[in-house]
Amino acid sequence: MSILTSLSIAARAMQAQQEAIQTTSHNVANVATPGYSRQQAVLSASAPVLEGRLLLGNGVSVTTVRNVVDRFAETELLSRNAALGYADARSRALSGVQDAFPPSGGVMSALDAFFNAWSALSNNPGGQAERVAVVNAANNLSSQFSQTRSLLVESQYTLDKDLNAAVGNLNSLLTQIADFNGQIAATEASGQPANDLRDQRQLLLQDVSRLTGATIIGGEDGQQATVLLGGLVLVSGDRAATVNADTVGVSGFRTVSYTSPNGGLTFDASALFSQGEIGGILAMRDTEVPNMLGRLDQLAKTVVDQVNAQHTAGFDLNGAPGVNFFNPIGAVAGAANAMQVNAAVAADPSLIAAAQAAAGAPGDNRNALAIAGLQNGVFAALGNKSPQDYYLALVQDVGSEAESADNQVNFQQSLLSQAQARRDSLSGVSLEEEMTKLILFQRAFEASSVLVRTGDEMYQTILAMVR
Amino acid sequence: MRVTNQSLSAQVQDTLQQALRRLNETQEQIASGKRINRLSDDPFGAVRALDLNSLGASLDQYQKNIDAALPVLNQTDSALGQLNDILTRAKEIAVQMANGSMSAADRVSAAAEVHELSARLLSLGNFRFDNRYLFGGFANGAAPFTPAVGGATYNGDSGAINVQANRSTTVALNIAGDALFQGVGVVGGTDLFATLSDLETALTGNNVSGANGVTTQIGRLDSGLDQVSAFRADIGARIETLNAAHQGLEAMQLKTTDMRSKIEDVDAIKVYSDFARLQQAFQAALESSARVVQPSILDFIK
Repeated sequence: MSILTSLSIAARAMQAQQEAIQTTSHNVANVATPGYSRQQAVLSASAPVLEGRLLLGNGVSVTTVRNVVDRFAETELLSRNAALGYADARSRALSGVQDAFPPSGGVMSALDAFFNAWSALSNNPGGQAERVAVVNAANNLSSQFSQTRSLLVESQYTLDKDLNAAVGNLNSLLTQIADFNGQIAATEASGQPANDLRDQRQLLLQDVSRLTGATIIGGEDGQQATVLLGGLVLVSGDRAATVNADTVGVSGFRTVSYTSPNGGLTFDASALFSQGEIGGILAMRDTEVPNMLGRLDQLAKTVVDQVNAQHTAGFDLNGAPGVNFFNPIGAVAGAANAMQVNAAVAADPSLIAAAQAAAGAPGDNRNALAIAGLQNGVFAALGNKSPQDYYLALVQDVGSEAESADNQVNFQQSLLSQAQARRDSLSGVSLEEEMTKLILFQRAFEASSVLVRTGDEMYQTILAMVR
Repeated sequence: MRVTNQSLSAQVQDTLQQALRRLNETQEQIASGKRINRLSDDPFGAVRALDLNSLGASLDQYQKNIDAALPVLNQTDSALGQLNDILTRAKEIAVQMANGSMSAADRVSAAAEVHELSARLLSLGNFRFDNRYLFGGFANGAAPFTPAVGGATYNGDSGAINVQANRSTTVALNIAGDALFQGVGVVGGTDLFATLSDLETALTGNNVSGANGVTTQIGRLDSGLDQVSAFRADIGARIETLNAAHQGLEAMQLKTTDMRSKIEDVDAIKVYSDFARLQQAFQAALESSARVVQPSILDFIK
């Protein structure tokens, strides 16, 4: 009987080596596949058999093919992706936003030119040309304000489009993950791990995490896998939640509408998306850019208020009390878009109130000097800053935000690379290793075939004995 | 740490990407000549540059203010010179005519010259430059003096037209006519129009040492001359102030431009040597990558 056992050991060994070689081939074939984790044919000695008084080995078999994965490294990759997605969204948005605040020109130069025009008027308060120059400088100032404002608003709409694309992408990813969950559960019912399906799902999860910062729990040992964003269930087993950004909210921008996996619950979940790319987009669109707009509006309104207050305290070339130089602005919101020179003044610059006294004296320049002096005045509405200093503080903040967002992207990118390297160092395919194993398995296969031949020869010998 | 083919290739990509990005940044600086091409390149520097730019614009405006004020003050100074000439001539006549050897007829003919001087005084009081009456105060759109019996009436006001010479200094570019010509607000001030008118009357009436006679007018003319030269000294001082302010502004403007250039402009030597160094680094990265990625165990098992 033991020759037959040897033959069967050799045959099963050849089978096992073939399976190992097939696994190696699979690894080599997927050396460049993103998210692939290398697989191992787990060879183990078969249970020995007791023959007479001896416990004899019974060969080898492949008990399972498992993939080499470190759950911690996978989780770390997910969270790095979330941080990078957030930083990336902010950096992209800020690089557009900072174009509204050019390093030369812009609102700053327009403010300089406006106040300097008043100073020039004070040299010749009766001069028509100087008065026209003041109106022109004011028109330029208002157009710079509204241009800057519309660039910022434009960036909000760009973010809105980005949000729509990102949410659409998320929705399709969630559906795919739910599909994979179903397939994995079905495949693993047989007791063998669905390695390749898990790898592919993990890759999709990375994308989901990049977008939202969501994590996965469960999914082991036949448990149902759940993708969670905080307390929000994005995928439950083979059912995915539905997200879309088709609804435009009261702010005029899109909201993230969420419908639970079982379809029972639909609500605006925008506030729950605070991480990942979608979190970054929402933070920029709804908090950071509005903050800049608010400060720009505050500046525009303060300039209008202060100039009007001083202007109406003076008297025009005809000795009449000064009218409003700018159309008065009620609310701060939108002020940068509403700055406009009073049409009456624009049409008749003699209405510019350069004088302090009602005499109609063409040489009285005191009010013009006072308005020119506003550029050095500090105002409570501007946090006790002068208009230019207030604007510079805004520019400084935007610039610093943009710079730190860029740095953050680089930083998160390198953290992600490190996490990826850690994951790859365990799970990645090394060709050298696979080739070495291939040689080993090939030799083992050859040796097993020699066993078969030897067994065969032994049979021949035995058969020859009886002939 | 186990090294795999994918992590190797990812690392090579990372390294090359980084080298290329730095190369690109430096190239952009060389091409634009600017160190700051957007705020995030150097937010602090960008804000400094904007601030200096604004300061430069103010300095420009102050210089323009001074450039506009100086011709006015120079004209005023020359008008005061003429005023001095008129008063000096009037005093010469008065002193000459006070002499007992002069006849009544001589004095009557001298009165004619004084009348002429009065007319010159009036036109000087209504002196116009660049369409503005220099001695009308704020009301410089109309002639400030109209002739009246025994002198002249002032229609202007006492406004001082100040110009901004720098952030903290304002200089008045005018003298109110009533102060200069009529001594209003001047301690012991003299009305020049009345003095010349009275001199003319005294000469015509051959009144040398009587009440309001020629002798009295000599004294008034003396104090009138003092009054004019006091104002002239004041104008001189203002011109001096403006010239000094102008020089100060020019020096500041130079410094501002220099500081701005240091912040905004690329340091050519540094950026070119950086570029060369980064190019070398990129080359080295390429070569080392090629050597790391190339060999494989497959080259050795045949």
